[in-house]
Amino acid sequence: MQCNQLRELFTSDPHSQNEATLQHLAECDECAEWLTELQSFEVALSEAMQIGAPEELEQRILAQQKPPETATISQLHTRRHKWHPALALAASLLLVVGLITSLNDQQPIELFEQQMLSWLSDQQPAHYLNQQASDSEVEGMFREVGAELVGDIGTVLHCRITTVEDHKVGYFIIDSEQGLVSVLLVANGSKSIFVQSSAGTDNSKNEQRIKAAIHWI
Amino acid sequence: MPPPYTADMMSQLAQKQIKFEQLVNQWSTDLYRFAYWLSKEKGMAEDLVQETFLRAWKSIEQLQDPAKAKSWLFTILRREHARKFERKVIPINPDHAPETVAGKSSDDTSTEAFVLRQALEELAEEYREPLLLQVIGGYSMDEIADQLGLSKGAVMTRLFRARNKLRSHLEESS
Repeated sequence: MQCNQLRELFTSDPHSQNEATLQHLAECDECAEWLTELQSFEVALSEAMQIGAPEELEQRILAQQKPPETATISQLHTRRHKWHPALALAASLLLVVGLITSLNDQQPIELFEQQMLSWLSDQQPAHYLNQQASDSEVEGMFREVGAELVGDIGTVLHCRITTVEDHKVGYFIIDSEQGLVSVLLVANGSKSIFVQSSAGTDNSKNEQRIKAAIHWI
Repeated sequence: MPPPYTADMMSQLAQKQIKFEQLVNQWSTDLYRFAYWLSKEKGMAEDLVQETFLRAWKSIEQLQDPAKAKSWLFTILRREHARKFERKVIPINPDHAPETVAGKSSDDTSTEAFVLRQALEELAEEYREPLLLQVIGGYSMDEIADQLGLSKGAVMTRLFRARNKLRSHLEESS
């Protein structure tokens, strides 16, 4: 191998190595020195390309992953509400202010209800602010828990079937004009609906509205 | 009546979500760098990455082998860039100086890095793109040839010229 051949090869690909190049480098000090310089250049080039990605790029990508064409719920949709970051923060500080089964302040909440409410409190609905569930997702979730929608509940950002304390439940988040509302539908046993609204909003109104829009099959 | 959305389907959706998040966590920075050096604009670079992942989300089922994820994403981004580039009318302004990226937070601000970045911005795309695929993408010569639809010999020539031009810039500046 000639010096120019070796240099051409390494300039095209600094990591190319074979028997011929190794042998040449062992015999030619000039090329060995040249290669050391090239490797320094390669490090500098690689570093120069290390442009810092914008902060929160990942979050922005994850927030927009659902294509808009699958995100319309004709039956449920009222209007998309754009959240101010401060409002979103407030929404994340959810306060449990009530539940469908009316509770007497003087009486202890039953364990089952406590468990459901505790689970709801642990959720972070604000995480789903930039998402929207599809028609089929919402309808499927309702069907799965033995319920159906008979009215307008607003835009559903997220829904899923999950298990809470061995109870199969439907969990969904609504983006309402009053803020985020989280709802838990418990399928087995009592067929209960638990509603949790954003702090400072009227949970009983949300309860009424949601209760009126859901029918157990 | 629409089919019921079963627990299995919900589980599949969750798995898709996890797979997608792993891709974003692992490759968004490399993709952003590749996009930046392709487009030389920060805004365009972010748009390209966003578009790339939007397309990836829609067709993530196509990605069967996780080892091919990077190559798959780079290919999507290249196509997206080519599509945008075809549409874009580039204003010809002789006074326009290329946007320099030296001095950005968390970046190397040494003189050498500054000169190299400026030289990279001035490098013709036919030389810059294979170099980006090799240095940022970690592609082999054969893979670059596949990506760009060139012969291996043509790729070697472009990479040879690309490095020589950058090294000349560096030597002139020192």
